[in-house]
Amino acid sequence: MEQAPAVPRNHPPAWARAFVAVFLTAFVACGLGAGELWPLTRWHLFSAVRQPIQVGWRAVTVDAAGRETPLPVGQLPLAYRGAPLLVGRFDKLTPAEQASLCDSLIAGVRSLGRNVLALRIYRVTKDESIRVGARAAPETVALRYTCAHGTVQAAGP
Amino acid sequence: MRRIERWIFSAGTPERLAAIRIGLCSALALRLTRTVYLSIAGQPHSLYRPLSFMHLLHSMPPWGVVLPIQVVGGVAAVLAALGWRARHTLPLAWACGLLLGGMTTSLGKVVHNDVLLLLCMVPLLPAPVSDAWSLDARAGRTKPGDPMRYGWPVQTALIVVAGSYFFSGFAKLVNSGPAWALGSNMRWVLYISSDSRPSPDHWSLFIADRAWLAHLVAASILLLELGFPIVLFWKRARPAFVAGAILFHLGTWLTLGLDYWAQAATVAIVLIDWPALVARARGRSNATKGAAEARPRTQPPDLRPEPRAAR
Repeated sequence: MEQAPAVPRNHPPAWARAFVAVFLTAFVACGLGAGELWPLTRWHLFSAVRQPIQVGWRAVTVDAAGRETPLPVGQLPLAYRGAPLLVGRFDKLTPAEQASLCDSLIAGVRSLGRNVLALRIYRVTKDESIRVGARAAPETVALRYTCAHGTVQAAGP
Repeated sequence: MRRIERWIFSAGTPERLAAIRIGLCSALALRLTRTVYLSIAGQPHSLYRPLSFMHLLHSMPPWGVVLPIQVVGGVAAVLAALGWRARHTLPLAWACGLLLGGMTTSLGKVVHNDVLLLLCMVPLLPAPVSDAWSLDARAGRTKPGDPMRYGWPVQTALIVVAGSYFFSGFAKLVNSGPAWALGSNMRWVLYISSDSRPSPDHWSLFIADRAWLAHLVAASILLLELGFPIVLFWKRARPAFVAGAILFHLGTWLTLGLDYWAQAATVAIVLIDWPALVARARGRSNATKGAAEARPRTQPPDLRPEPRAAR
């Protein structure tokens, strides 16, 4: 520890000691993984090792002609910024939450003036270790869910 | 433990605390000018993923609530930086920043961009932050006195900065072990980031395509994070860690597109002893001025002929 700049004249007030003790204890406890009490956090920043095989989820919209278009996340309002993350947890949502999420996404895309009849959610597998130029090798996709008219239909295992 | 306590509660200067107040409040004011808060206001309920205290709210606050909070928070942050009624404006700015930051972290992913800034402001909330370099001091509203009042907020903020980086490294070791740096983890991180962009990112690919470089970058990050507590013990190491943190966040922005300028700025604001830097710069400037004034006396006499008078 560095030297104190001057000889203390008085003791700091008791409330200051208590305040610092509580704050630092909470900061250290959360930092050691006790909990995520934002802004007190566990500091999990890219802490999990990434693997070359990436399994993700992708939502596409389906128009009246049956044409598929990727969910235009970049054109949707910022409020939808977390949508891909939520689609990625679709499996873990309750049926009611799944239906509600689908409805919100469909409504969001319709607000852009697009014709949307249904939403399809695909499971996407990509191997980052196989490179084709500057990109990963083409991914494999499998349909998992179809949302239409307020219902969610599971497809495949 | 006693030693740590003595270090935290050592004497300080009102100027050092004021410098941190000015820096952190200015950074917060800039953060509160972002349009992201209004964009996510009134988000559809099904997309709302509250975290921490945001569970108290049923859904994302509406536009009509967010706008006044953002305006009040921004103005309060500027006033706190200027040191106007800072005992009130600083906590107000912090509370507004906390709520708005809570909104951005309730989109489905923990957002860390403003966390260090908000946490380093916590020890300033009850501290006498405007006893120097402030409008309050100019107006005679403060009573500068006991140096023991100014040390602990600065030392606590230092611990928070060092701890934030240390815990980031610690989480990597706990969750992944040495494989985080020794395996191909960094290559996959960079490839995934590049592939998720509309066009490939050349900075990411430059590192990811060279395994040795990816290992070096990963090991450097881990070393920087785990070594950060050194700044608490060794004052001279602080400039190196400030430079390392800025370089690290610049690299993260270039390769992953993650904007952590507020965190890098917080590190510089807290770790650098700004009053000492200003005093040194003034001393150097005075020394230069003094030398310039002394120069004519020491210079040899000018033996050149007098210029001819104009005819």
